[in-house]
Amino acid sequence: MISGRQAKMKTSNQRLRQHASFLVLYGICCFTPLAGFSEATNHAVPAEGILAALHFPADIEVSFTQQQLNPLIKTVSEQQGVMIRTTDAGLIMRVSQPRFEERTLHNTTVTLKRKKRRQTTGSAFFTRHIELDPNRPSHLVLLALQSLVNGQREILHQHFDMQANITGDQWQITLRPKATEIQKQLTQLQFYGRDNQLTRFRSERINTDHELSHWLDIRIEPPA
Amino acid sequence: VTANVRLTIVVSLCLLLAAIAWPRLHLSYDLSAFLPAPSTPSQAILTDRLGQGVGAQLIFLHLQQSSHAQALDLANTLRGIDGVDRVLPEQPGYAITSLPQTLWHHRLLLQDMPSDMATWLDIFESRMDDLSFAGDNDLLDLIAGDPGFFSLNTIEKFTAAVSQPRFDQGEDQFLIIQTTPPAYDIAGQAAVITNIRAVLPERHAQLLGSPVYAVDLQSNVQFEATLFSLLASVLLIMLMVYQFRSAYQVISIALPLVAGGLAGLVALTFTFSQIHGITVAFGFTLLGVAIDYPLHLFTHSNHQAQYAEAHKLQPVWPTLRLGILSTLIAYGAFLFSGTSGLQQLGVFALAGIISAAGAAAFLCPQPSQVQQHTAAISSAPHLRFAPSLIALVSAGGILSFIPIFNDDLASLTPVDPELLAADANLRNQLGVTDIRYLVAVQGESLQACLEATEKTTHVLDRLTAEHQLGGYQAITQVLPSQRTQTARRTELANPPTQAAFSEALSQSDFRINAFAPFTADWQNTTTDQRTLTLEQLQRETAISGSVDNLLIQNQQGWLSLIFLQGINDTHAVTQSLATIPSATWLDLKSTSESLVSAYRGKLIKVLGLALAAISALLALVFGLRKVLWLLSTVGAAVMVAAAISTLVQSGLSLFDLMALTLVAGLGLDYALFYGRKHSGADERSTTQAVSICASSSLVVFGVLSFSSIPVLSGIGATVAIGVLSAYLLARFGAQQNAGR
Repeated sequence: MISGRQAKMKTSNQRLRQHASFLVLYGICCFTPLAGFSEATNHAVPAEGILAALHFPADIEVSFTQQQLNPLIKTVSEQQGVMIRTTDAGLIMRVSQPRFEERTLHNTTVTLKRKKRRQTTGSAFFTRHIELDPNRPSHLVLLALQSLVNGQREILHQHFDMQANITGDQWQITLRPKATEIQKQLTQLQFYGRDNQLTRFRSERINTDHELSHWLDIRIEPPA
Repeated sequence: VTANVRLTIVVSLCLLLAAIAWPRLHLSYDLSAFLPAPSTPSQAILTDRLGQGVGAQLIFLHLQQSSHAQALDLANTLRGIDGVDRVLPEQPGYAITSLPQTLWHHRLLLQDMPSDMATWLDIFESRMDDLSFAGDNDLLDLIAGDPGFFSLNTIEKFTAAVSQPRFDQGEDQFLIIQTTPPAYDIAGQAAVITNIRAVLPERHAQLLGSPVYAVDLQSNVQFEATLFSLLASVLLIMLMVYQFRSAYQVISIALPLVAGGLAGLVALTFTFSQIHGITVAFGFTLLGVAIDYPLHLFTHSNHQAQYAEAHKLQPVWPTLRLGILSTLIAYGAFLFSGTSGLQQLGVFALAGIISAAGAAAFLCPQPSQVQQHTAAISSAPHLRFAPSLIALVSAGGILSFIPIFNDDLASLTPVDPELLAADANLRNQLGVTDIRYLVAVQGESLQACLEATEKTTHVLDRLTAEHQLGGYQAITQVLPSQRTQTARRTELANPPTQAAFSEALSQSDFRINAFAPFTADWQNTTTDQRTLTLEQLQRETAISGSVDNLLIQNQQGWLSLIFLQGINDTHAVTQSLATIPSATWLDLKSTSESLVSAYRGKLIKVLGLALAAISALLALVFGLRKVLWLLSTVGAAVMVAAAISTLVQSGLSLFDLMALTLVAGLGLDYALFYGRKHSGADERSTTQAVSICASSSLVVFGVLSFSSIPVLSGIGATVAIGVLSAYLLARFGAQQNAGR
C-alpha cells in the first residue's frame, strides 16, 4: 500500500523525469555531436532551450530570500519577501523582513516604495521612480532578473554572453556582461533552476582591486 | 528739377538711410525691455526675471514607437550638443566626482547634523536599503563619504526642474532638454534646436516647448510676413497702376513709406542703444497712415492737371498738413509717456511720418498759385451726425456687455493659444515645475538676505511637512548664511553630537570603519574655519546658472527668489508667509496682468492727452461743430473696429490698441478731406483720393487678416474694419451738401 507521502513523492519524481526528459531531448536535438552523454553528467548546452522552457507563473506570489554582502557591512544581510511576475511583463519584489520595501519593475522603470521611518502626515510610504540604465551594473542585474522571469531573451542576449549547463534535472545559466565597463564591476550573474523553474539567482561584484567585494544571492521557493 | 531727378534723389536718400541703419540695428526680443518701468516690487521682479525662469528654456522631445533604452541612448548623444545644458531623465550621479566639488567639500555645512542617535539609526537603515540591491562601487564610495546624503539631497532639491516625472510611457518616450541660451535669444535657441534636430531619428520624433515654438514662430512669421507683404504689394501695385497708369507715380507713392520706415530706424539707432522688435512692428503699423500722403497729392495733382482750365481746385496741402500735424501730435505724445518702449515708438513714428511727408511733397510738388482762385467757388459740406452717433451707440452697446481688454501677457506672444494649451497639458503630464508662484526675499546685504531666506524656508519646511507644499528651490539650500554655517560648525564639534553618530554606528549593521572618509572630513570641518561663499558657487558651472537665477544683486541690496513646487493650499502658504516681513509672495500671472493693465492705462492716457491737443488744434482751425463731427466720425470708426475685434478675439491686446490708433489716424484723414470745402470738381478729386487711400489700406490690412498668426490677423482685421467704417462714416456724414 502506498502512503499519501509516497504517492506525492512518486508524482513529483514523475514530473521531474518528464521535464528532465524534455530538456535532454532538446539537448540531443541541438547537440547531436555530443551524443553519448549520460543524464547525470554536467553538460554545456545552449541557454536558449532552457530559457524557452522556463516557466514563471504570472500573478502568483513566490517566496524568496535574499542575502548579500558588501564591503561596508559587518555580516551577511538578509531580506525575505515575495516575488510576483505581472502579466504585463513586470516584476514585483515585496520585501517583508526586516523592513517593508516594494520594488516594482515595469518596462525600464523601477518604482521603490518604502515605509517612512518618521511619519508626520499624509502617506506612510514614500515612493521613488528610477529609470533603469543598463550602463549601471546594479540596474543591469535588475534588468536581467526581470527579463529572465518574463522570457525576454532578446534583452538578455543584448547585454550578456550566456552559457548554460545541465546536471540531471538541474540547470545553470551564467551571464557575463558584454560591456567592458560593466565587466570591471560585475563579473557574472548566475541563474539556477530545476526543470522549468528558477530557484536561485546570484550576482558577483568586484571592486577596483579586482577582489570579490560583494555578492547578492536570491533563493526562490518554487510555487507548489 | 525734373521728376526723374527727384526720384533719383529720394531713392539715393533711401539707400543712404538703409546703409546707416543696417549695421547699427540690433533688435532685442526681451519683452521686459519693452514693458513700462515697474511700479511695484512684484512688477520689478517680474520684469527683471521675465523669460528667465527654468520652464522657459525647456524643450520636450516626444519619441514615438521607441524603447526606453533608445531614448536613453539619444539622451547621451544630446548631452554632447553645444548649448544643451541638461537632458532629463538623468541618472542619479552617485559618483563623487560628478557632484559640484565645492558642495562636496562643504557638505557637512549644508544641513544640520543630526544630534540624536535615533536619527542616525534611521539614516543607516536608509543606506542599508539603498544597498539592498547590490549597490555599485560609486554608491558605496558616496555612502562611505556622506552617509547622510547631505550633498546628494541638496543637489537634487536645488536643481529639480521636474517633480515625479514620467518619461517612460510605453511606446511613448519623453526627454526634457534644458538649453543654455536665454529664452529670448531666439537665434541662440534656433542654433541649438537645429543641432538637436540633426541627431533625431527621421520619423516619430517631435520637439515641443517654448524655445521650439519661438523659433518656429519666427520663421513662420518671417514666411507669412514676406508672403502677405508680397501679396499685398502686388495687389497694391495693381490698384495703383490701374488708378495712376504711370510708373513714376506708382514708384513715387511707395517711396515715401520706404523712406519713412528707414528714417524711423535711423532715428532709433541714434537715440536708443537697444531697440525692441515690438517697437519696429508697432512702428510700421502706425506708419501705415503715411501711404495716404502721396495718394492724396498725386490724385489731386492729376485732377488739377485735368480740370485746371474749367474748374480751379482747392489746394490739398492745407488739409494734408493738418492731418500730418494731428498725427504728429498723437505719435509725439508717446515721447512723454515715461516708458522706454513707447518713447522708442514715438521717435520711430515721428521721424517716419515727417520723412514720408517730406518725400511725398518732394516727389509731387503742388503749384501754389491755384489757391488764389479757389476760395470764391468753394463751399462747406453739410455735416451729418446721425451715422456716427448710430455707430457709436451700437458699438458702445456691444462693448458694455463684454470684457474689452485682454491683459494676459501671454496675449503679446503670437503663439497659437491651442498650442499653448497643448504645451501646458504636456508640462502637467510630465510634472514640470510651475513657475507661476515665487517668494521674493529682500535684504540690505548678502548675509541679511540669506538669513531672511532661511527664516522663510523654515516656514516652507513646515508647510512641506504638512503637505501644503510639494517643495521649493532656495539659494540657502546650497549657500547657508555665515551665521548658520558657524552654528553648524560649532555643532559638529559638540561631543554629544559626535557621540550620537558613534553610538548609532556601533549599533548598526555597518562596519565601524565603513564611514572613514566621512569622519575624517568631520574632524577637518570642525578645525578648518573656511566657509562656503557665493564666489565659490558661481565658479561651479553645474549650478552657477541656478545660483544666478535665485540670487540677484539689485539697488536695494540682495534679492533671493524661492521657487515653489506643488502648492496644494495657496491660502495657507500665503497666510504663513505673511508673518515674514522681508518675504513677498509673487503670483507672476496676476503681476504680469497688472503690468499690462498699467501699460494699457498709460497708453490710453497718452492717447487721451494727444486727442485733447488735436481737438484743440482742430477747434482753432474749424470751430466747435466741425470738430465734434470729426471726433464723432473718427470715434465711431474706432468703436466699431474695437467692438468687432473684441467680439471675434477674447479682448483687445496692446497690438489691437496700436491698430486702433492707426484707425484713428486714417479715419481723421478721411474725415478731414470729406469735411473740407470744395467745389464740384474738387469733390470728385477728394472722393477719388480718399477712396484710393481707403482701398489701399483695405487691401494691405485685409490681406494681413488672412494670416494664420493670430496677432497678424488680429491687426489686419481690426484695421480693415476700422478703415471701412471710417470711410463710410466720413463719406456719408459729409456728402449731401457737397453734391449740391
